[in-house]
Amino acid sequence: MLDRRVLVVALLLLLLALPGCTMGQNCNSTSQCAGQGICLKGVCSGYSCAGEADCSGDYTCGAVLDAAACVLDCASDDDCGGSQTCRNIPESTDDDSPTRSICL
Amino acid sequence: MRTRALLTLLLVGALGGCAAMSGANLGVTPGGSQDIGLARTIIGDGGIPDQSQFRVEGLFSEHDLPLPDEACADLLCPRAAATPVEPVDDAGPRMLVQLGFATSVTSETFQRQPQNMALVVDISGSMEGGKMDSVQEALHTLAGQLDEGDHVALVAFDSRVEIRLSRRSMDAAGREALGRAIDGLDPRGSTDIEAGLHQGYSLVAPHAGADGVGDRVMLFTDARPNTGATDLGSFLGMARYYGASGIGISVFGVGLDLGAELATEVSEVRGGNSFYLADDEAIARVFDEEFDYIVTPLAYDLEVTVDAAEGLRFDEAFGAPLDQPGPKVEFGASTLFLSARDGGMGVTIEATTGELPTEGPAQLATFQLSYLERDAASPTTATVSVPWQGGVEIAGQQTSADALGVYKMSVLLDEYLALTAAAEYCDQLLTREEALARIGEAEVRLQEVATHLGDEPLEAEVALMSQLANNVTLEGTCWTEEFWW
Repeated sequence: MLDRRVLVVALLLLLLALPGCTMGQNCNSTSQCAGQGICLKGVCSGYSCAGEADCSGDYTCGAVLDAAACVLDCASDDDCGGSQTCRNIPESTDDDSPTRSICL
Repeated sequence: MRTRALLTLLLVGALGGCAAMSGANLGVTPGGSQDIGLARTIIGDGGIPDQSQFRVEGLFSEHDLPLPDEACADLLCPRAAATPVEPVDDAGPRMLVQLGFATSVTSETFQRQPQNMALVVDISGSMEGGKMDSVQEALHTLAGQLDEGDHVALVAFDSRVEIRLSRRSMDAAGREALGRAIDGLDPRGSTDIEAGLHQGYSLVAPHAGADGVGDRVMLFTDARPNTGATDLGSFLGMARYYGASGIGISVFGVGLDLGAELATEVSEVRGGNSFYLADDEAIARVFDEEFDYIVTPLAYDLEVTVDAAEGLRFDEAFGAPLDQPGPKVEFGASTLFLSARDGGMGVTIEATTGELPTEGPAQLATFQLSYLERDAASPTTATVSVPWQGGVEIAGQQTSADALGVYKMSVLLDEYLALTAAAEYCDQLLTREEALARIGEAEVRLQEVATHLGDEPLEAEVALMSQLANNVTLEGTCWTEEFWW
């Protein structure tokens, strides 16, 4: 019985210690975000990508000012989680770069 | 509209119910490099700075360039003034136009927003000695500007990253803790700027976006980040990504290894500015006198298209740092900051057929402006007519300039071109005689205007030109890329 309790406590501690949030999930601090993600305005964000396989959920691999990042497309602030807002950002720094509305 | 409402609230709060505003109106300056301190230090040491070590917007930002004196009731009021010039680089006659912004914000009523901030400090071995002393002095001075409304974290990095102070309110106990953390900074190891910066953003980002709070990472370093990389893990990639989300970056450089590539890259980032901490005076100026302004962006993404009058055309823009100009945009600025001084960008206009106007009034151009006021949902557009009136009387003397600011800007542009000539001499693009001729002409013109106006900062520029001419004559050290690597 004692061993079982120790095991449960150890599992709980492990769960608390591990970053539990993946991209797009709500967070209060960056330590909650898995991998290299940063908790940006309440949402685990800032994941770089080389292709769609690196992004999860509704996130797609897109360019943000020359950097490849997992982004969530949006039409308005209502599409964004946490306190992120829908922003129209150029995909690259080239003069005639197209823009993309993403949550930031 | 949210910006105006916010500033109105701040102003009303500061006035304590008074109906009238008072105090001198503040100025507006483009982001990016805010001084040419590195070039000044090199020249003072007998050297000749490379072109990558000074930016014209840095030179402009060090001077007060007053705009035409018209009332401004808005957050930003675009203003333009012109003067004929014949730059020292032998480009031929031009019309120089200063495009700047007046603001209704005054020094007495302005209160900066509380800051959500991370101080990211390079403690690598190269910071040993004077550089770390300077940074610690700067940080202590900065700490003196903070209060309980500010939330600050301190991150130290070499090859490892450590949070030396977790994000906390800068009440009396917080400032004391910050002071202890600053005193505990001790150089060691190698440099990993990206890791330090990532940690800084990771502390600011969760709390970013709160109404009425400024979000910023401040980086103190003597190193040059790899500005060629743009991926999300790189200096520039992070600065751009988080800049787009509203978190600004200020870079404070120490030491002679810094290059203006860094200033250039930072200038192109939304909410970015950079400073060189050359000495105690520079530290006091930046953190005692200007701290409130350098954390106060007023607008982003200024883009300007120029519709020149018949027979004229847009030539070049000076001091206009813009990251991604649109296809028809001639110049602009990624960020416009509040400033203790009037600033602006310089635009030269040349003749395509015939000659430039020799007497005013004459229409030169129309500028179409678009910019996004801080927190606004949609851009503001404005049309600015650019005439040349034929000059006005300044300080009791008739001039060909339409305003004091563009009058001073004309000789500062010559100074910038003289600095460029010295660098081109080092690159063997100009002979020593050609470079000295341009430096000498710039010195004469600066002296003339400095004497006329009794302008001490311009007098200092005269001395700088004199020293530069001396360095070129004596074949002072050329600060080329090969030299500092």
